[in-house]
Amino acid sequence: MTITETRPGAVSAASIAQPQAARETVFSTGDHKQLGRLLLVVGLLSIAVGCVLAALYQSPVGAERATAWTDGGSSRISSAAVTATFVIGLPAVWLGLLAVVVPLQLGATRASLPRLQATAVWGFITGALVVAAAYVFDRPIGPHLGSSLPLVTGEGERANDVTLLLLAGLMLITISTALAAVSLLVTVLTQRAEGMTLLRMPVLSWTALAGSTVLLLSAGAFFSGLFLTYLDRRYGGELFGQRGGFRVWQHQMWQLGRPEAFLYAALGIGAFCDVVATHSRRPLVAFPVARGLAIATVFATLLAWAANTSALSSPVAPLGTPAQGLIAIPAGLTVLVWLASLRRGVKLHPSLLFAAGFILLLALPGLVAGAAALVGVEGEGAESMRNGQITVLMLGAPLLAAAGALAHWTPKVWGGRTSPVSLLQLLLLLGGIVLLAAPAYAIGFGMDDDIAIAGSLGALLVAAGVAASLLPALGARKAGAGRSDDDDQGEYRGLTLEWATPTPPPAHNFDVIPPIRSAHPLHDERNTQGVPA
Amino acid sequence: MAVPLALPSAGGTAPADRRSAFPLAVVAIGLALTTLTAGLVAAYLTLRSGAAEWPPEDASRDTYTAVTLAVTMILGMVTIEWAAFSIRRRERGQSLAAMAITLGFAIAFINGLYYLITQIEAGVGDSAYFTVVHALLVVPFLAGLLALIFVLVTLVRNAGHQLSEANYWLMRGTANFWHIAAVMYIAAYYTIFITK
Repeated sequence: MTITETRPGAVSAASIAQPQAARETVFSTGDHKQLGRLLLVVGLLSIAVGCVLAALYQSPVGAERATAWTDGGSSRISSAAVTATFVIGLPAVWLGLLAVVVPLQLGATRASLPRLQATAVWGFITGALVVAAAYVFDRPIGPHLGSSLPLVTGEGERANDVTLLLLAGLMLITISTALAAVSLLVTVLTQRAEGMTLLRMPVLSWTALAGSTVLLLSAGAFFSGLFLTYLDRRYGGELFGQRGGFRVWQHQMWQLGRPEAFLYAALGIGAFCDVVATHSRRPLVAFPVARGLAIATVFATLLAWAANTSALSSPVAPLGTPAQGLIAIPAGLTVLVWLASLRRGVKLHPSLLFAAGFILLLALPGLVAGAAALVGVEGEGAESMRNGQITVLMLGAPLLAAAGALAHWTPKVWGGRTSPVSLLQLLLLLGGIVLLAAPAYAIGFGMDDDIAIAGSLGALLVAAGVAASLLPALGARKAGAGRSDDDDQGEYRGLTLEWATPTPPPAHNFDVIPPIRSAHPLHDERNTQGVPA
Repeated sequence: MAVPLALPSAGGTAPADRRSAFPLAVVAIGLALTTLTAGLVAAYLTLRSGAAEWPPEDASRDTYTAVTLAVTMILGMVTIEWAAFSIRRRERGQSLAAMAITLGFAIAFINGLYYLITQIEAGVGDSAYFTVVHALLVVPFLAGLLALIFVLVTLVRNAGHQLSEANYWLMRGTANFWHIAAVMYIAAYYTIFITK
């Protein structure tokens, strides 16, 4: 039996929250769901723009090269594509998704420090606009974050205004990312419902806790690189021309030399743990082990700081050093836990197909590296293959994981059922990513450069797939106008607390919080009531 | 089964969780500031290992001021903890005195560090050494400025009877931030003036 308790002599949570919600606009809201959705939309749009730019770069009117992500020069298009996709898009999508879902999983009525969260979101958006303006107005002279080598300027040579504008925008984005991570971390530690101990948190919430810690550590180091680069460019220094300067670039600026390179794919591992458990309708096999492995995968991304350019001549790059290769171990073991859990039966859902695509993308670089080792790929061929690996692991895996997580949590994020369009979206994303990486792989195996045009088509497919993620947002319903809890549980029969709230969730998140005695409170409740799980 | 539901506050007082959220948020920000400082120190050491001449001949270092600033920050760590302790013991007069002394230390630190930065006779872009030294000193300067604002706000709220042993979170967060700013400066000082 569930009893709702109201505060003596006070009105209910709903009646307090609803008038506040009515007064709030998107500019003044402190609601974690609205702020998270805002970040999601910005992130998805940014990735779509980045992929269109990548398609342009790889087309005959552009440079017609195998990839836009690692160009060593200072092309405005490839630089903008890298920034839009990796620095703005992926962080915004994942932070937005976690901002919406994690407080619901914890039974929190709101996020901790909502004004800090709002500052982070609006700071991020402002930074993204500043960066976009820098690229629109003129060509920034470096820095191309996808390049492993910094642009070395002559003594006394100062950067143009848009370069400084770009760096200022990137610094604002980095500060905002750190603040968003602080809000997430503090929410997990202080806003959990009564009974929701740390060990009872779902795997996604655990990976959010670990991920926000990694993001804070990484943001500080990235900011130090940005600040040094700003001072160097602003005052005409020669920092990167010094011996050792390129190492500073590699570990503090280069996209592949920082934990963010793998962090978002690692968060995908945590998200799919909950997806698999929900649709297999039982807790994961060896749940504590799965939780430990997912957390280990997130913290293992810190090993990305061990990257160096000597690894780039290897066809197995970006996991080109033994230390970085360790990331694959907990990730691979977590996948085995999923497969073991699914053996007991499953209710098919589009998000599970995304999980299958995600596993495929995690396995693909290993298969290609094995083939390259057999054939004996080396030199320029190996470098080209590395570009394919980067496309699959750094763009494909985290993007597909985010799209799968969005498909799974559509009722809580956008307020409707998972759209059948999500299957088309899966095909677009998976096909696009494989097509985008294929030219780099093919050139690595000795084919002509002419195949680069196929990558252009792949990038367009990915952009279309990302744009399709925004379709549910167009049909999003207002809080309070949704279905009952039973409808959700009919589709999902979820195990964790986010499925105990109406769809879409009201401003105060929960009217009633079920008793929490384990990491799967709804599963416990159903079993207690004698309903088969 | 009865489960108490945490209702949002109707206004007036801060929600109970905020008391522990703010100091925790400051510690989390401290994580990022630690790696920010560590990144700058790492850049300094990496560039030093590759340079033929480090520091350059024309680099002048005002060690006396730098040491004084380090001592100032350490003394501030003591006085701000004194203030926090006094609030918890309901010794309002002592806490106000300790906060006022800490505010004095904060102003002295900002003033002294600004002087130290202006005493670097070379320009920011004159060599990699000067670029990274400026960065190492400007970052603690900004952190010190934030600490000064925190101390000022806490002092004003304490003077206005808004802090007590039950409403202690602002004081604890301010003290945490002071410690972080102090560690940032001491790391920069050690790197530039001790390891050289």
